[in-house]
Amino acid sequence: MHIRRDPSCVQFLLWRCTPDLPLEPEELCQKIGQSLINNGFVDKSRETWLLVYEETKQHHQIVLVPKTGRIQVRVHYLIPVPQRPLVAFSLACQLADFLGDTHPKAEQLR
Amino acid sequence: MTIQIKKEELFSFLPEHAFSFFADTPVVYHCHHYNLWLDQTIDDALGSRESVALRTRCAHEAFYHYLAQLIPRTGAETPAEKLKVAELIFGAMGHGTLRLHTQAQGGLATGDFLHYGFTWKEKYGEKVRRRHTADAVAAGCAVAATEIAYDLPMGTLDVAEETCVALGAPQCRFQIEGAKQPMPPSRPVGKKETQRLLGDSFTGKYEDQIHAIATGLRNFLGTINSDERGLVQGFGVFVTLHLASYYNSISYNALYNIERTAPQSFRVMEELLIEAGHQCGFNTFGGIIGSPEWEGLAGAPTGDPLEILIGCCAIGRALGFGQWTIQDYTPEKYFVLRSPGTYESTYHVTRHGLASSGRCYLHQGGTLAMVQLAHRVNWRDKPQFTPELYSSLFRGQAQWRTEETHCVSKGDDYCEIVVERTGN
Repeated sequence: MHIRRDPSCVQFLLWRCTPDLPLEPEELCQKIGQSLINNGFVDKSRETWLLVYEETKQHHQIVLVPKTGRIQVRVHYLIPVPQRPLVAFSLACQLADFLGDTHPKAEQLR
Repeated sequence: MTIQIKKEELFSFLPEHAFSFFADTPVVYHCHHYNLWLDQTIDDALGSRESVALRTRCAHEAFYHYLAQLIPRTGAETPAEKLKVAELIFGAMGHGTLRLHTQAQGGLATGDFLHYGFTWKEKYGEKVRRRHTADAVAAGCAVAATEIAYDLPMGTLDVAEETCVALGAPQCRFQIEGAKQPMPPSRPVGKKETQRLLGDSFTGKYEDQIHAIATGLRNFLGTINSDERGLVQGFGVFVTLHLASYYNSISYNALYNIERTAPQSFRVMEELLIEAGHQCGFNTFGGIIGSPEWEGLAGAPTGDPLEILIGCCAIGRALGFGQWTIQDYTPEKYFVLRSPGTYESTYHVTRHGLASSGRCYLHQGGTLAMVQLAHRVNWRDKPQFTPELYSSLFRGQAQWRTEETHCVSKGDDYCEIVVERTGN
């Protein structure tokens, strides 16, 4: 799994995760979506073309695009700015575990 | 009495002209980059003292006409209920949390996470020391809401922002009291006035694609709600649903003020207003096209310039800027964007009459930004929309010449922007 700041990211809130595993977009989204639900995330999707899962304690979100397989981690704004990259990193590791993928490298957070 | 703000009933859309209205008041979506930049433009032109006064007065007027339309449709009867509606609607539009503790003779209002002050602090707070308050819009809303709640004529009260988060205060506070100077009466520029000016609409090239994306995006925007702060954070920006009259009145009042007091600087002022359009196009359009929402709706950008131009037209429509159509396009050379009217030109004619030249400054700046986003941004590299990228696109030697060849503001049937390549 790779992680980098997403385009338009301000204050370390938005992160793009890209798995190493060669999965089809829909399969990838289905696998992650199901794992997130199994791990207590809530499905907040309003459209079939944009899947949104929210963690219930701190309200971080994982956004999935079934058409392309894009994964975006949205750290909640209440997390202090210096801690946001680590929160994103931890969520990316969780996603990697769901897929059986390798964890991202910490230096990718820069 | 129960207060009911029925969003679906209060919101209306003219599909053939791509104009949006809330309580019959023209509204548009804009992001914090544009909002801050336009306010700064007025500050630069008039000086901060006069600018704050003008912007507050324009917000006061715009919100007075808006709330006068809105509040009677919500079931609010008592002053307390009317003030509550104003607070709720202000937050629902993404402007932050406003609390009104006012009586007929005035009083105090407080603000937390106000869009302007809060986002200014987020964007510039660590680099720039600000010396004047940032929340003219909240101030204008607070004083207008108090007047409407107590059935007072517009301009009975005045407002001053006494503390501001952009100046380091923990909270924004507004003092409202009896006005020392009367405010000139004004007519609203609402749905009726806008519709009166609109001629037949038309389509252009790639209409099916533009229409499909615009419809999807507009529907999606309709589902977005503000968070517990009263802010809307999406596409990597803070988004507001804003009163078009506010943008127009601060822009044209400042422009004509400059024309009266420093006519030699009139063209410079026009250029500054156009630059605000660059900011809008770059940050809002760029942010939307780079977002997962866009990828789900329209697919990931492939790098084809035409695809970006089509997408930007759809975004302009979805944000309520007007029925943007592509009339002509030659890659790297020529682009013609035409609209049967924009939220700028329809306002200008109603308020200021006919002009001698085009007055769609957001439209002009936005069109150049579209062309730059289409031809100079490498979308495959998933770019960050940084100040450095902005500078590389909009500073330095101009590669394109932009002209508003037709404008409803000067009596034409439509508004048209032509962007043409200069040199090689």
